[in-house]
Amino acid sequence: MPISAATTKITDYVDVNKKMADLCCRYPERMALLPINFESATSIAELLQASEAATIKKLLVAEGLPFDDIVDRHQRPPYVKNKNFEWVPPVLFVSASLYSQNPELVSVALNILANYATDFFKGMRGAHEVSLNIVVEKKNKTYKKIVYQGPIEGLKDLVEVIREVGNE
Amino acid sequence: MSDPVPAFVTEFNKIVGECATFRYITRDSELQKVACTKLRDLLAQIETEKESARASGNENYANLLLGCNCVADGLISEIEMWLLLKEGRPDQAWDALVAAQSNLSSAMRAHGGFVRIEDSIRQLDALERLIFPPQVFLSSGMIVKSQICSICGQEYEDCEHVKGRPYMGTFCTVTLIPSAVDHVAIVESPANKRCRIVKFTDAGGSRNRMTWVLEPTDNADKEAAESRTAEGIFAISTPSEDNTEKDITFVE
Repeated sequence: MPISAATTKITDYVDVNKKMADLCCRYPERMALLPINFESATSIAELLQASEAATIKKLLVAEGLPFDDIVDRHQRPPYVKNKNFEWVPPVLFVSASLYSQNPELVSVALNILANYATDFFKGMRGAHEVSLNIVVEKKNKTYKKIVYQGPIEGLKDLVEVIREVGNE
Repeated sequence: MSDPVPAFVTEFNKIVGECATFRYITRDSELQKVACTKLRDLLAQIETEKESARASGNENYANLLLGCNCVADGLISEIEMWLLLKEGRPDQAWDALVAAQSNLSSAMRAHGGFVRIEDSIRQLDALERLIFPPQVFLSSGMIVKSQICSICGQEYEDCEHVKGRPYMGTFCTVTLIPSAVDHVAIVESPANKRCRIVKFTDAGGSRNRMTWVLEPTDNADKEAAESRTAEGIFAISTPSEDNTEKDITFVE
């Protein structure tokens, strides 16, 4: 199996607190999944979520991780489904209080994502590369986006990246 | 100590081993058809055995039998691929190859006892590259308003089942209820390799991408031919390659 190199980019992200208020969504105090067009959407009706969002959410909840929905059930955004073979997870939001008080839960979440991605690629040839976007709330209430692209095995290393970004 | 292999599985291995003899192009077509019939009989037996496993609540055994089902189905598809190639039907042979690959991948997901099947998957991948010309794959992008779970019939986000995982001998799949088709794109890795360009217009007619045969275009189609069109399959109603999703059918 070809081995691919991992890349991790860190960029500024919109003020999630303000954006949630603008869109009439609930601000997540713990862990959440953000719609893929969260930054650009101008109303709640425009929001779209990754097709894997439903699966990732139920896997996180099943493991007892502290998870917040940002909208009510009847407001759930539609899913974007591209019928090509790639693993496109939703944007994972990690609050400052979560990683500072329970950093091990972030590690558990990344393990869950890694295990699910491993299952997804089972029996498929080629480089099993994943991309994952994580939005981290910093202690000063600004936000950074971590964009990871690389092999599944590299997901576990993001725990340290999240810690460093959060404590900047 | 590991559990003893059930007598049914021993018999399954024996029949599959015998039939695997016929997964080569040089084997006699009639003998290959007999092997396919044997495997179809085996599928019926697997289904009966699976019903018993379900009735006794033995989920591990039901999932093992689901894997057996995938292996037998995959072997039928592989033998059929050779039969179809010998009959001069390469488009259908391609579909059979994709079905074989999909079934073997599914077997690995059905039960941990099928990890060694990866060698057979690699063999099929090699056949794909050696026997068939490179394909141009299509992928459709959809906006999906609802996903329905095949196990419980509920909205997928609200139930406890996970697509692609086996439950009492059945894979969880989701039926996508689209609200709009967003785009069709040419991609390197489609969710289903049956979604591909099958023909394109060329000087004087329509050329089959698999056989390279030029089918003459009649007068009525000439205008369309001049505008350089392609004919392809971009979504089908059978599960995708990862056996997790079903959706509406479009053939254009």
